[in-house]
Amino acid sequence: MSRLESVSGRILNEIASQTRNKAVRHLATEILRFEMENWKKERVHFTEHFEQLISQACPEDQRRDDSS
Amino acid sequence: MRIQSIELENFRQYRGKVLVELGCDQKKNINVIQGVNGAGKTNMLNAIEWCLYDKEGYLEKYSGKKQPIINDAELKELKEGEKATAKVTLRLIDSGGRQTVFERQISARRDKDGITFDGESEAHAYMRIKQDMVELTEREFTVNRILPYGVRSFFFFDGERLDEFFKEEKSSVVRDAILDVSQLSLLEKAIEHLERTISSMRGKIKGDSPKIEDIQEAIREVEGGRENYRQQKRNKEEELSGIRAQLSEIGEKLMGSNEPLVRELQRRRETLSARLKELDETLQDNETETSDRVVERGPAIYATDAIRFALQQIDVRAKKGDIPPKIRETFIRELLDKGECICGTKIRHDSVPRKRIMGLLERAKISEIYEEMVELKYALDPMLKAAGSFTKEQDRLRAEIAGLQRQKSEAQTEQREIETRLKGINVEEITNLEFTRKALEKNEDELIGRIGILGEKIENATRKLQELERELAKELSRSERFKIANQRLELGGDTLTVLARAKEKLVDETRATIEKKTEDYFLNLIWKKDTYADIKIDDDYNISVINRIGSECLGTLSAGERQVLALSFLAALREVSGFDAPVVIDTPLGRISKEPRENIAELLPNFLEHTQVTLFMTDEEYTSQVRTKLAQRIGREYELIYDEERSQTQVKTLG
Repeated sequence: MSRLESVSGRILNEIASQTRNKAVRHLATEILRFEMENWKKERVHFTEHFEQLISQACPEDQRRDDSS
Repeated sequence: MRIQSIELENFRQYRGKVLVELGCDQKKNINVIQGVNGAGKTNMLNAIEWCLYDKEGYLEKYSGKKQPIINDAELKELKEGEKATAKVTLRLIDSGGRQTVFERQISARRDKDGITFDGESEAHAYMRIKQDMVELTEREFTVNRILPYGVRSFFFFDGERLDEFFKEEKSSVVRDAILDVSQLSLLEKAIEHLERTISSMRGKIKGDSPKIEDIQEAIREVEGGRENYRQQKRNKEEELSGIRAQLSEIGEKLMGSNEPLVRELQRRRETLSARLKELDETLQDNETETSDRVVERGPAIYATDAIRFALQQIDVRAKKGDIPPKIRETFIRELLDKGECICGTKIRHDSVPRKRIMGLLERAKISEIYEEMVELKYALDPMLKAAGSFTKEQDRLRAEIAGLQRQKSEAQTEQREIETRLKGINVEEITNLEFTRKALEKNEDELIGRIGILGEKIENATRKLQELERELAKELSRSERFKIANQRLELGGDTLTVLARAKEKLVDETRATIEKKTEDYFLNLIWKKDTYADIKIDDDYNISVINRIGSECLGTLSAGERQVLALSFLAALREVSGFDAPVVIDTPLGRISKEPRENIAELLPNFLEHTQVTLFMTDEEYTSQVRTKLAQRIGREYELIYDEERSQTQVKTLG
């Protein structure tokens, strides 16, 4: 792991220590991944992508997907 | 990561191909490129930035405007139909010996109407894999892995601008640097974007009850209001920053005055300002402690008589022998359940012993109260003692506050006297500066007040918003139709809270680490070892330098000392950033006078140990003494010579 990755890892570790909720952890990680990929870009279209991430991480949505 | 070579072709004053190979030896980690002003040092730094990022951060250093990238003479000699190209090639090597090459070029053509430049430059990146150079498709990604643009200014920088970091108005620069370098700006962006997403999701819910719509409308209104306050606050903060910059400039002008008395008065005023800041902070701490104690002990003070009466009653019972109680309810119940007394007598139904023991049970219920009285005594005693010592402690705090206020008033009186004396000096410029300063200070006070009020309004709006969000969630939970929407909002909200908490904690940790590392570097580098003791970075990202007698003295640092502080801060940021990139400094010793310059030159190689450092120095900086101090650590050494006749720079190898 490069030193740079360990810096990002520090943020992810802190998030993990703040909650045990898997859905919250997953969503926070995915949001950060998106921000890392788009760091310093002037215009970023995030709303739709974030809504999709929330829906993917939401347990109720997953239950529905499983049953359909 | 080290720079192996920089190759310039028709880039500004570098005509034709010019190759500068840098030393990559760990023990000889310093490269020196020397040249008079205008020889092309800053443009070589610009070339590195342009090649990597297509930007030139140091362009306006001397000219104040943008010049064409392609060499002037090349352009002038261009014939119709011909093309001229400027190209920069940067070869980097990592600790594992892996080579990465970055190239960027731009062309211009002459046609019958004149010269047309390419709209965009062309860039490539290659990596050596065994014997082959393989082109990398994701050039930007590779650059960002080595050194993202956002943090490059902590690796490639202009020494003459370093001390701007620590002027009072620059706390936002320090804050941004800390957030950028620790990637916490990522978290900040994530929080901002998630907040907006949640707001958009909430707005999309089409309610089937007027109440839901009413709450949504109220949320929109409060959100709009809060955004408006935030914008107003940002504007005011920017205004405040501008005013502080002007105040700092006036301070510098007064410090640089030809009149010794003006310099002396200004120096004294700066010391007083630092002292006033300290006094204000201590006063605030003491006042908070006083009010906290009132809140904490207030109930006990108001209830002193009741507490005393309760304790008296407990004492009476204790004297009577009721306390501690002799009979316990649980013990009697155990006997009844067991059906046998401790003396061995059987306790049968309707028997005399049973009736007697049942009688004891009634008394035991009263004993329970006595038992609670014992516990109460332990709780009431310290409360009464605390209430008793309250007045004494409050008196001590009040006396302390009065003393601090007296000191504050004395410092303010002295400041006013200095102001009157400066206004009275018969030099028009000084008088004008004093009047301007006074007006600016008034504006500064007003703005601080306005910013405080706006901050409070934002907090109130946030509280109101949280209340409305809870209300909406409650309404949505009533209907099955909104079950999913509600869960999504809840998940988004919980994630937002987690991200905000993580940010807060990491910002504090990072700030503390940078504070400690800056202090270590500064105290190691600074030549006045007995003067300075501590570096602090407060919650608002203001940096303070504390001297041995405990006073803040950033305002009285010389330009050279401020530069050492900035170098220390940058080294700390670099370390925290985790990027192993080379450091390039333009005019590192430009503002530093003779003796400190040699001190820094001696310490510089150790201070950035294991990092390749390239220094662009003028002949005034790179004196024979500096050269001697650096000699053991120099890898490569060049001199840039500008040939005025041919309008081009040549590179001469030294050493």
